[in-house]
Amino acid sequence: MSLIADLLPLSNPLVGDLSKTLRPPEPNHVLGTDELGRDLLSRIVYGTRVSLTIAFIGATLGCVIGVMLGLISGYFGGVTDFMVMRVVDALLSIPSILIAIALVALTGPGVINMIVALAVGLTPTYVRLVRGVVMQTKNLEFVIAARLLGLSSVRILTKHILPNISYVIVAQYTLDLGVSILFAAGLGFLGLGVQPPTPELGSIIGSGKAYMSIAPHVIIYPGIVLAVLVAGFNLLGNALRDVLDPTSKVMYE
Amino acid sequence: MSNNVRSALVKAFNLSKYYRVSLSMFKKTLLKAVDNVNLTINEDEVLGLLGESGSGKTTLGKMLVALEEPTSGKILFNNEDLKEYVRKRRIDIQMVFQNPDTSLNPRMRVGEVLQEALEASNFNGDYSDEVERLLNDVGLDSTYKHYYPHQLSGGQKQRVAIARALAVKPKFLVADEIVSALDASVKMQILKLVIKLQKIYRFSMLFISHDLPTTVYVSDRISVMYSGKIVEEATKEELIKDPLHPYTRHLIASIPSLYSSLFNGKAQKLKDVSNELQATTPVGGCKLFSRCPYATEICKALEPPEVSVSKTHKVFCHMYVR
Repeated sequence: MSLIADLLPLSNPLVGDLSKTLRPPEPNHVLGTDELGRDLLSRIVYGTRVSLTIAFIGATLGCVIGVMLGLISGYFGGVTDFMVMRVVDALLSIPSILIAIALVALTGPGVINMIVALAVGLTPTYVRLVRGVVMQTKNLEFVIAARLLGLSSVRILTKHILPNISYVIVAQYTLDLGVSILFAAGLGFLGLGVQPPTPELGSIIGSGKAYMSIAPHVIIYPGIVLAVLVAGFNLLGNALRDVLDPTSKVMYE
Repeated sequence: MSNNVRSALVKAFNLSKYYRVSLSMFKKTLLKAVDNVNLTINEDEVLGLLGESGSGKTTLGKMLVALEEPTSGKILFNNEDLKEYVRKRRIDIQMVFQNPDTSLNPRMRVGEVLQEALEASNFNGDYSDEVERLLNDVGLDSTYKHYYPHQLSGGQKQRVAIARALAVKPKFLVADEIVSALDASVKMQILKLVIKLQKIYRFSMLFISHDLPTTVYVSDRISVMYSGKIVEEATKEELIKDPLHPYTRHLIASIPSLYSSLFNGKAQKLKDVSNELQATTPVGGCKLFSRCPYATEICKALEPPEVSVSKTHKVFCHMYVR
């Protein structure tokens, strides 16, 4: 629904009516208004779009970089593997929210920084995950047979290894989308992400928390949307893993 | 066939492969998977490599296809250093594996598997025709090229794996226990197929197996391996008529009785001792010492010498009995 937000008959999420602040739900504003009199439904719909975009780009970037490093690290082993894994270990030892805060402190808040922070935070998981399955897969006979045919490492990795471990990556990726949405919302809540007046689920909740006792709807509705989104992506991840697992019969039919 | 004089294709000299194994946190020992092995495989010849699991036959096979680096020793292929040769023409040396289920990429159709092999060789012609010809060679009709591996039976998968190896027209093929994962009836079909294909394609083959009748069926010559060492080497006729080494006789004694009559009473059981213990126990003398009924002091002290019984028959034993 957020994808077609521009087509929906919603009021402008950026323009408020200061005579109607913090109104509870009413026919004109189905979910009520926020502290500046802006329509909450409209802000949630647009805000979800912003949250999803950040989570999607950040998770994708982290996934692509992580998978590439994991493939290289797992397949070649040796010194390359050692170096990659030490960097990953270092990153894993720092909570990604701290990396994000440090990044924001260095370069100032903004969408790009949030995406970079997300990507950096998610990469290590993929490296570890992919490295592990690559190390198992590369000793399977069909990979050895490909080596005996003299195929290049790039071809072996892309044609023989990657397609056979993709189900692990896809499952992790969809799960990470949920995590990313939470992460982006968390940064927004802390005021480190998207800057006002752009709506974003986390910042809506963040700015609404001051009025929690007099107008609880301002944080309850975006909170519900956030929870449903994350739960939805987790369920999708589980379902996809079942469908894509090569050992399940659903495939190829 | 075995009477022709043939030139050597693969020659291994003093080939060894040692692994470091941890027994506990502080104790380490050297596992001699392959220990000082000499081996020759001639052109257009099938050499059977017979041995129990853990005897180092797969490790030896992997070294001969340059998948494993020897700890010491030298391998010549076509009178060139194997490593050099592989750098130039990787595809001349191929391998077929034991497990048909993991031999084929589950995401590739049979046709794609074979086409990829053809692309890797210098083949220029119609890929689709050649794929069908290869499938016919291994006894599958051309519709199989549309199938995914999981739609095939174990025997069919193994046929495709053989077709993939032969697609590049190799000079040397290592067949590592290729029938041990298959049903008895399918096993026979695959063995017949391999023999037929060897006669058409004229490659040399190292046929690795733990099963004596199978090895005799396929091979021209047979090397018997025990605990990283070759203990007897002979043509298959000599090995059937006149097995000399106590371990070879033990293997014959281990064949189900229906077949063992073939070997006219040369069977001799050995004492059973745990395998792992055997391979890692550092002994100066014969590896079989603790199991052999003929063992004497000299077997304990000295490594068995090479005894040539005939031009083609060698046995590594102090006490060999005729």
